[in-house]
Amino acid sequence: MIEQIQFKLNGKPIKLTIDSDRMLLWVLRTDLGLTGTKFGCGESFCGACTVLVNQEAVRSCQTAVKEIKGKEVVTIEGLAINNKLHPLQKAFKEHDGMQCGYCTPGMIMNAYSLLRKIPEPTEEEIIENMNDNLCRCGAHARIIKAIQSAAKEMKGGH
Amino acid sequence: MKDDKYMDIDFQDNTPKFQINRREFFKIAGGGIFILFTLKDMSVFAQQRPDHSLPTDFNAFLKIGEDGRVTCFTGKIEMGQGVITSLAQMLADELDVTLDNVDMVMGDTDLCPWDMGTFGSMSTRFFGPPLRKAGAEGRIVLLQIAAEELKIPIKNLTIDNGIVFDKNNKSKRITYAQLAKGKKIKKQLTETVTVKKPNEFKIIGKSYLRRDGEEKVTGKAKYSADIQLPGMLYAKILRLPAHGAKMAEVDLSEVKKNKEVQAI
Repeated sequence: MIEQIQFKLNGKPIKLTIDSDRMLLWVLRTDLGLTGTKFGCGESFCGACTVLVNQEAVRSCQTAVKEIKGKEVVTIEGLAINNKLHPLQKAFKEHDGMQCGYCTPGMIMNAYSLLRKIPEPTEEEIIENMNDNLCRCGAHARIIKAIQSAAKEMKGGH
Repeated sequence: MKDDKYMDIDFQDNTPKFQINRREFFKIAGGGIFILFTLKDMSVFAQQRPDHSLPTDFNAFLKIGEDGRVTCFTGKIEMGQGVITSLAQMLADELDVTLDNVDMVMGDTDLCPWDMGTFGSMSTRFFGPPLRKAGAEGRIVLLQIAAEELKIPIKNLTIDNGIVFDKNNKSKRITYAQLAKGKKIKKQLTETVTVKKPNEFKIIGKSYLRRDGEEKVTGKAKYSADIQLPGMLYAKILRLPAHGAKMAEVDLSEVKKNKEVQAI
């Protein structure tokens, strides 16, 4: 159904007249040009499309825009403030927590959500919470290190 | 390798903007010193494709720009294997510049010559050696120009961080930027050039963070699906409902009602 949808995107209010059954992922990528959020499987299995909706990690490929009315959406493009990398971004960069980097935006957004819930996760908790974000290159060990390092720097903040 | 059969894909409908004639070259590439080189093994591929001769004179080049920066233009791409970092390390060592002073332009079809592709763990093994030689050749060209401009024989010159200077008098010096200024030199790689020995490496063999890391953690890195071009269409393949099924008919009348859709 074509309707007007208002929400906050990366801190800025946004108003779209749009088929509200469309998935957030494609609205972000095609309509709004925010291509940092990736299409992986389109069936919410892989986590490449993870964004934050009201600070919670959600799979944007299976989230219709009508579900985000009045909510706050943050994508990977909205994480660095005034070009200063978020501690998670910095840690992924410094710990080489990627190879091709395709899963990285989703990994970082999911890790953000994880650290909000569990500010000082154990290795097992990190694995358990990141398990549904797939990385085919094999950067897993370095991703875990990056999240541990970011958790230390953030000390429960975000 | 020779027994492998390569699929005969014809890319001739996709004419690259990059032309090899001299005028076009400098128009696209700008001023500076250029070293043109090619993968030696291109001839193997060319033999297998007698109908479509591949470019054999060059398929990558180096630029020492008028700002002194070293840039490599190649059809090889970065896809996580790390060559945007490791190939730059090779160049930095051969040309005696810092790693920060090297740019890699990879897979930009407007700027880079044709390349067969990036596959089979071949970029480092097969592209690395000629790239290093091209760097060494560039270094020789820079030394020759410096010798003329400083009026000091080459054997008395040495290079550090992109500055050529007299071994005996360090105040006699000239930078790569000064050497490349106003020049339009295009040189083909000669096979006889020698590269550095492992004990001379300063940058090769050291571990550096990947140079595209920042782009990748900020979502700025562009993957092929992220590129939007004017007039571009999105393709969606309509597959048959079962494996091995043969198409009898397909009803496109509904999609054809949508003016924005081109059904083929």
